[in-house]
This record gives sequence, structure tokens and C-alpha cells, in this order.
Amino acid sequence: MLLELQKTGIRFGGLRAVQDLDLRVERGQLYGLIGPNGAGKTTVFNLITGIYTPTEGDIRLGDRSIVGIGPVGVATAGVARTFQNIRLFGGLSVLENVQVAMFRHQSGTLFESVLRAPRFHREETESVAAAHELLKTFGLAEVATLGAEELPYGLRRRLEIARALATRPQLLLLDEPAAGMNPSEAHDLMHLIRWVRDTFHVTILLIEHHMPVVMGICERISVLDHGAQIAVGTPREIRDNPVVIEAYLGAEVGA
Amino acid sequence: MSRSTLIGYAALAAGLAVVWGIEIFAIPWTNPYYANIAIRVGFNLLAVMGLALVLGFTGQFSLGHAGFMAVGAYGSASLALHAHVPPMLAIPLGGCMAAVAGLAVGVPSLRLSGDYLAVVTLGFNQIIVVLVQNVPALGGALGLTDVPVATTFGVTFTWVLLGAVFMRNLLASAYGRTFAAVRDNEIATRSLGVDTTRVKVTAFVVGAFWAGIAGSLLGFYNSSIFPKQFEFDRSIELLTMVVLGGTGSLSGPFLAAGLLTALPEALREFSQYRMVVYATLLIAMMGLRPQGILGKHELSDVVRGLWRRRAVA
Repeated sequence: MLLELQKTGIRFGGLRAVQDLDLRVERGQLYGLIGPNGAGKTTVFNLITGIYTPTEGDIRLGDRSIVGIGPVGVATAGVARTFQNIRLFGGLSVLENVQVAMFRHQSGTLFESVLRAPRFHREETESVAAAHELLKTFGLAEVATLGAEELPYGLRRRLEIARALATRPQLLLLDEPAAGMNPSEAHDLMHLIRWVRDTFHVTILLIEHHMPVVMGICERISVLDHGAQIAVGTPREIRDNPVVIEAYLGAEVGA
Repeated sequence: MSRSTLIGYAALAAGLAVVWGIEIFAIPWTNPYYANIAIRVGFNLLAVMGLALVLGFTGQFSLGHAGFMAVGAYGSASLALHAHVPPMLAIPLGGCMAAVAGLAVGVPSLRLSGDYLAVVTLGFNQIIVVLVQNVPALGGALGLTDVPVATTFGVTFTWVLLGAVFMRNLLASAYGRTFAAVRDNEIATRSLGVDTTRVKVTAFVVGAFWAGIAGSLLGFYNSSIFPKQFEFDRSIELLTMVVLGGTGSLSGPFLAAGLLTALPEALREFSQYRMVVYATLLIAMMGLRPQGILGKHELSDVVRGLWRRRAVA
């Protein structure tokens, strides 16, 4: 077990955005989180990554609780994420975006940077090489020196995933990675995500609306509606579950 | 040591040689009026580069930068007057005191952002001014006098060079990238395990240090300091230089600091219209070039761009 949410919930005033959520993600699993708009999926991500603190329940990563340690603490514990509305560093180049993610593994001090000490050069060379390597595997090597804001939409999504991986996470959270993509782009992305999991040995939890993507790659799926989990199971079980169909399409009139 | 480092150190040494060459061979024959302007440009270069780091590169709106100059000025002058610390030692110590003040203000307030941070830093500036006005040991409203004179053109621009190299190297490093990351997207920066409060406090402390150096040099130049020199309008002046020069640029604010220090001198005859020109300049900039003179670019980029264009033509 890598990630476990135990009866987790959060209230914003009178609104229970997420309630009584039990979620268990095995190490190495590709896990999907789906549900209609406003079901609380992104809130779950914000709970896991420490942007929100749950008002009920516990969140455990490996054998320890990650509640209350804040976003930096959660990231340091090995959780990386992408965002529904892409959050790149627009003023930095593609390469530098990835290098920022390597900062927490670097130990050079500010004075070593200012004095251009040997460790500064060593770490700088290492991080450039590692970032280049990562960009190459994501097909971004040719655009490494471009400003992140100059990238077309699809490549921005890729860069955000590459940047998250540069932190060397155990768990990667992807918030609607296929949003705004056409079916063929989404198809490519699906392969990319599976390939990332296999190559980087990382556990992936993803939120997605493109059903072909979710059904195609996830090994296990949880369905949220109005902040509560209404179903959990394999893609096949989810597809045939009447409760899920009702949540998405609404109940039949008079049924 | 790598080649680029060697070139960097060599450039610094060459710069220092030029500065002291001017000090020894040119300054004695220069009209003191112009030397005075050059030295005051130097003070503003030092003060503005800290603010360029805090506001331009890290995106934190600080309205109290003159407060840190005050800490450096009063701190170093007191050391020289009361403890007979030689000025050349008191100047860096003044910078360190300002850095400590930066830490003390930064740690509690940098969890705030935007307008709230602006209000807190503005408050800090006011508190410092009121404090020095009311402490008899610091001379009250009349300030400190008989501060030993030690600041010359050479001393000032030695610090300017050290500061410029410090900033350039800092910005072109892993730390420099975290400053820009915080400015561009704080939530994403945190999600990568970078402690953004720490990044902001670092920028604040470094910026305060160089403002403190500027203040210290000022005290040892005029031989006197008084609270009015460090009031809120001084902070605004520095802010104007950063905004005018370009947020996200170092040489842009340098250029603006040079212009806005020398220009009022040129306009001295029309001194009653000085503020009008100032305001018109800012309004024109907002309309024509809101990103500032250089925007996010450095002078070296511009020169390289012109060179390339000429090569093509």
C-alpha cells in the first residue's frame, strides 16, 4: 500500500466538499479518479498534496501520516503533481522549468553559487544533463531553450509531467492530463502515461474525463459524486455499474 | 576552476582596476559637482539592485526598501562614532545589520502576499523612521553628525561592482531559478518541494543587505544622516526605478537609477517642474512600454541583438 485515505473529508463552512473517502492505491498501480464536474476530484488532490488540510480522517503515504505537513512536506515525502490549469514558470525556459524541480536534491549553498565554487559548477552541470535527459524522453529536447510560455498546449502538458517527474516522486498525481486534447493526442498521452509508470517505476493517480483514456490505462478506478465515493473497482466493473451510469447520465424518468 | 569562472573573476578585477584608475587619475581633476552625481548614482545602483531582486525577480511587492538603507546608515555610523570601528569595516557590518532587519521583517510577513506585504513593509519603513527620530542616541530629528568621511568614488563603485557580480551570479544559479519560479507560480513551486517562504526571505535578506550597504556609504559620504533621508518617498523613488527599468531585469533598473539620479540634476533650473516631468515620464512609460525600459531583458541581450541585426544587414 502506497497511498491510503482513511475516512477523509473536508468541510468548507457548511459544504462538505469531500466526505468519508476511503481510497487505497497500491505501489506501482495506475489508479483513476473519475466523476461528474464538481464531484470533488481536484479537492481530493489538494487534500493529498497538503494544499488543504482534511477536517476528518487521515491520509497515509507508506507507513506515515502526511496530514498537516503542508505542500512542501508532501512534495518532499515523494508526491508530485500536475495541475488542471497548467502551472508552468512562464518566465523560465523549458529546461529551467525542469531544473527548478531538482532544486530540493541540490545541496550547494547561496554563497557557493555567488562565488562560483566547484560544487556550484558540478551541480549545475549535473542538473542540466539530467534535465536534458528527461526532456529527451518526453520529446522536448528540441524546445529546451524556448520559454515555457512559447510551447503549444500539448507540449505544455508534457513539460508539466516531465517537471513533476524531475522531483523523483514515488507517487504522481495527474489532474486531467488529457484536458483540451483531441482524441488522437489523448491516445498518445495514454501511452505516454503508461510508459512513464513502467519506466520511472512510479505510482500514478489520475483524474480524467476522457473515458477512453481512463478505461484504457487504469487498473483500478474510483468514482466520486457530490464528494462521496459511489463506486470502486476495475474499469469493467465501473463501466457496468448502474450507480455510476446514473451519476453521469441521470436516472431514467419514472424509473 | 572553470573557464567561465576565470573570465568572471578577471572581468571583476578589470572593473576594479578601471574604478580605481578613475579614482586616482580622473577624480582629482573632475568638477566635484559631477563626481558627486556619479557617487550618488552609485548609492542608488546599490539600493535598487536589492529591490530589483525582491520585486522584479521574486515578485514580492516591498514598499519599505529605504527602511533597510536607514538600518545600514544608522548602524554603521553608530559603530564608527561610538565604537570607533573603522568605516571600511563598518560599511559591511551596516549591510549585515540591514540583512538581520530583513530577516526579522521577512520571516513573519512573507507568508503574506501582494497588497498585504506592501502594507507591512510600508509600516516597517515608518517604524524605522519614527524610531530613529525618537532615540536620543541616534540624534533624533537632527540625525547624526560628525560621521567620519570615508566614502569616495572608488569605494562606492567597488561595492557597486561587488554587488553587481553578486547579483548576476546569484540570478544565474539554482537559487535564481527559484526566485523566478516563486514569481511565476508559487503553488507550482511548492508542489516541487521548494520552500517558497524561505526563497522569499532569502531574496528579502539579500536585498536588505545591499540596501544597507547603500545607506552605510551614504552616511560616510555626507558625514551626517537624518531620518528624512529614509522616508517613504525614498522607497517609492527606488520602486519607480525598478518599474521604469523593467521588472525581471538587473541592468534595466540600473539604467533607470542612473537616469533618475542624473536627470533631476539636468533639470535643476526647472526644479519647480521636476515632479511634473517625473510623473509625465511614468505615465508615458505606462502607456508606451508597461514592461519597463528593458522588460525582462538585460543590456547584454540588447547589445547582442543589435550586433546580430548588423551582421545580417
